[in-house]
Parts: sequence; structure tokens; C-alpha cells
Amino acid sequence: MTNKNNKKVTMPQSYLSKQVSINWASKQENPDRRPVSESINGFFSEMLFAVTVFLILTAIVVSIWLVFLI
Amino acid sequence: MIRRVTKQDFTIVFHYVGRIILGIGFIMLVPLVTSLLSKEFSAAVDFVIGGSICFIFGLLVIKFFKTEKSPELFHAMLITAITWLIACLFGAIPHYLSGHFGSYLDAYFDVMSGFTTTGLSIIKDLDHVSNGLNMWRHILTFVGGQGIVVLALTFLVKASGGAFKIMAGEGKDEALVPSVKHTSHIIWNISLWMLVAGTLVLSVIAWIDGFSFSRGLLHGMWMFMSAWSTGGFAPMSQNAIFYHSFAFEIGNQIFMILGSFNFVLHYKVWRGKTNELWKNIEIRSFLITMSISLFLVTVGLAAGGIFNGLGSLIRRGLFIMLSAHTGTGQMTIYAAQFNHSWAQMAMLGVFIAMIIGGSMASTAGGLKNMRVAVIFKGIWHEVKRIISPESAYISTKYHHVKDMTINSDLVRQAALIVLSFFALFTIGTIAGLFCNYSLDRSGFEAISAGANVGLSNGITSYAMPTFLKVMYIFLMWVGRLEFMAVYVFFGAIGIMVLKRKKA
Repeated sequence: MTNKNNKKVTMPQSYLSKQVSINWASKQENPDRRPVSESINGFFSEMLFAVTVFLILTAIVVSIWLVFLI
Repeated sequence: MIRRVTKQDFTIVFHYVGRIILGIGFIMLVPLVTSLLSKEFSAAVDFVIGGSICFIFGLLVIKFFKTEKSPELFHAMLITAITWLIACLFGAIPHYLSGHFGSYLDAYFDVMSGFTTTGLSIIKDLDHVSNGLNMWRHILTFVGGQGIVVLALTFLVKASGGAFKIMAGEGKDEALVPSVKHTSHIIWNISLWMLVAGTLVLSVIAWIDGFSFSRGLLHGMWMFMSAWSTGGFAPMSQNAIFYHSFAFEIGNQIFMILGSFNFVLHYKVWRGKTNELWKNIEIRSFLITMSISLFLVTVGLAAGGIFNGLGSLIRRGLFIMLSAHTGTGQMTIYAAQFNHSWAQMAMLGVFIAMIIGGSMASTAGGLKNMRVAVIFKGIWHEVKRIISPESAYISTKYHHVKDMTINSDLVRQAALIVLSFFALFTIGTIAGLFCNYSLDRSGFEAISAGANVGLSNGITSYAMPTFLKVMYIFLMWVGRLEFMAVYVFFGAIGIMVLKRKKA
């Protein structure tokens, strides 16, 4: 990332060290640290997807019910 | 040339089995703490006894069968097959001591049902079971869903070259990352994060519905474990009907859907690849087969006139269908209603959904969405090849994490497992017929046990014949391990018998 004067800008070390992350690897291995935000985004995407699937399936049931009602 | 089973093979196999039984002892600490917190001292004693026996057996076996050798594929398959049988033997100790089971076989049945995430139960007076035993039953489901061996790899076994082979024997044959230990860590990380979120969601619904704080928390946690692990156990005998809550049912259905997904898919999505959800062949296959079977069920129920209201169709028809297709087995109808209230077309829909099941490397059972998709793609590939000019190069692709091409090896492997599953269902059905149950009831229960679903039409009860209990234990075990480990287990026994005869 660069600023207006084309100088490289880095985040202060103090900020980086405060980022919350999860180590997905075991202690015996090289750490696989990922920011929590990445996992939270994934979690909510999955939840949203499951809700969408449920709504699609409900729509199928409603459509068939309407056909029988008519 | 067929290999001989040597003393060293026994040493390697039982060394790992001992470690895993030690792990079962550690897990018993959770229901023990639950019992103590709930002031159920009699149940606490059951877990102290059960845990102590696991620790003593595990430590003795590890000491007696000491080895530094990595297991080969042959050992890995034997470890998996034997572990699941022995783990149920030790896991059933607190069950039996609780007094809620007529015999040790009944207790063994319940533990096998829990570990394999089937959910069929023959417990007596479930409504008055202690919190400790309920916690143990649901933890069995939760641990079994991720895999007993996966748990051991995460906490008890050093990373080794043979570790992935053991994991593959348990049906988790897709490595998320090159390291097996890392893969099992990821599986547990995802499951534990989901446990926190899912417990919170279902507990809040229970509290709003009037449950006390501790009861709502426990029921929320147990029902989440049941849904996410596609297990099907519930703390009350009426299963999901007990809650009389549409919101609770919706929550459970969402977690059933998520629980039936491949752990590779979870990992990719949690690493930012959210579009994988729409592109993945397993999800597409699930959506297509679920829609077809749901169509059959809804038409069958609406035409039958018993569940013809919109509310009933959603709360009973859709719930049961999701429960069947994800292999969960939670129920919003009574078992006998399958026999009297469900039209034949609706039953066909449930049969199809139960047989297909969830995704590969997930907590679900059945043929699996991937195999069904690969076989259909294989058929389509053959049709394309025949109708194209002979000089044309034909390629059929599918997407699972990355773009892949259909080949005859993939189709052959999928077809072999599918054939084995149908043979298993047939054996189970014949066993039901032998005990004088009708063809449709026998078939339904056999598929439910073999595909690790857990829906029941009433055959499964503590009063059913002992022969059928043993058969269903066999079906659950074989269906969960997906054949290869079981074939190797019986192969090894065959080799030993032949060797003894020759000697």
C-alpha cells in the first residue's frame, strides 16, 4: 500500500500485534494464523446460505400446496 | 500374494486402539462434571467407574503393545474397524449402570447408534434420564460425527505417516491440508466454534419459549449436537415434537443442513472462498435430489389429505425430509405415523432422501451426494462419448474445491460403494422380514440404520428381537465405516482362520 507521495505505508506493529487470530494448526507444526474476522465472515456466509436453502425448500412446499388448493 | 497377520500387526493395531480408549476415558470427564453440577451423584459414580475402566484398559494396552512403528494401510483399516467395536463396549458402561437399558446389548446398541450418528434408540424412560447420561449420549454423537479417530489424532497420537490412512478408514478420506494433525485440528476448530454459536441460538429460543436458564442451555446444546452431527438423539422421548416450537425446528433444520456439508467446504468458506457454496458439486447434487424427494413427499402428503395444511406440510413434511436427506433422524411426527399417515409416494421420497444422505467427509451417512453426482456425470459422459464422432475428445468436468474431470476410476470407486450399500440395505431388510415385519417397514428401518439416519417407523424399540438388535448394530457400524475397513477386518480374520487350519 502507498500514500500520496508514493511512499510505502505499513501498519504500526502495535496494531498488528493486537489483531485477534486463531491458530488452526497444532502446537507441533508451523502456525497457521488467520484473523478471526475471516472465519466470522465464512461462518455468516454459511448461515446465510443454509437459511437461503431452507427458504428455497419452503417455497417448493408452498408452491405445491397452492397447486392443491386451486 | 496375501499377507500373513503377524504378532507385530497386533502390536501396532492394539497400541492405537489403547490410545483411543484412553481418549474415551478423558471424554467421560465432561458428563461426570455435568452430573456433579446437577447434583446427580449416582450418575457421577457411573462415569467414575466407566472412566476408570477406560483409563486402566487404555494404559495397560498401551504398555503391553508398545511400538514406535507407523501403521500401514492394512493396520489403519483394522484400527478403525476394531476401535469402533471396542469403543462402544467401553462407552456403554455408564449407559448400563444407569439402569435405563434392559441388557448390555441394549446399552451397546445405543452407544453404537450415538457414535455412528444414527440416532436409533432403545432406551427405557428417556424422559427421566439424568443430565449426565443425556450429556454423554449427545457427546457420543458429537464425537462420532467428527470421528473417534479424528479426535485421537488431534489430541493423543503423534503426527505420523500412517495417520491419514487411519482417518481414511473412518470415511474422512479428504485431507483439508497436507498435514493430518492440522486437518483434524481444523475439523475440531470448526465444530467447536459451531457448537458455541449453535448452542447460543437454540438456547435463546428455548429461553424465550419458557425454559429455565440451565435447562434451556442444556437442551440447546444437546439439540445442536444432535443436528450438527446429523445424529438425531434428543433428550426427550418425543424428540423434536416435545418443544412445540416452530423457531426451534427452523434452528435445528439450519444446523442439520450445515452439518451435512463436507468439512473441506466449511474450511474453504471459512478461509474466504464463499462462492464455493454455489459452485460445489455436492451442494448442487444435494439441492437437486432434495428438491425431487421433497416434491414426492409434499405431493404425497397433500394428496393423502392428512398433512394438507401449509403449516403441517412445512413443520412435518419439510422437517422430516431435511432430517432424512442430511441423515439426522430428528422427528416431528410419531414413529407410528409413518405406517398409518404417510402416503406411499411420500414414503418413496423419504426412502430416496435417506439412501442418498449428506456430503463426503461430513458427519452424515448414506451413499453421499458426491458419489451420486459422480455416477450421473459418468453416465452423461458415456452418452456424450457415444453420440459424438469417434475422433472427438470428450471431457466431463465438475467442481469440488477445484475443477476436476470425470474418469473411469472415480466412477468405478463410487459405483462399488453404492453397490455395497445396496447389498447392506438388502441384508438388513431380509433380517426384518425374518422377524415377521412387512417389506416396507423392514426396508425403511434397514436403510435408516445402514445409512446412519435414525428415523424409525417403530420397529426399533427395546422389545425388538435380539437378532434384529445385533443386525442393526452391524448395519450402523458397516454403514459408518463405508465398507473398506470392515472388509479388511473380516479379511484378516479369514487369513488367521485359514492359517490355523493349515497348521
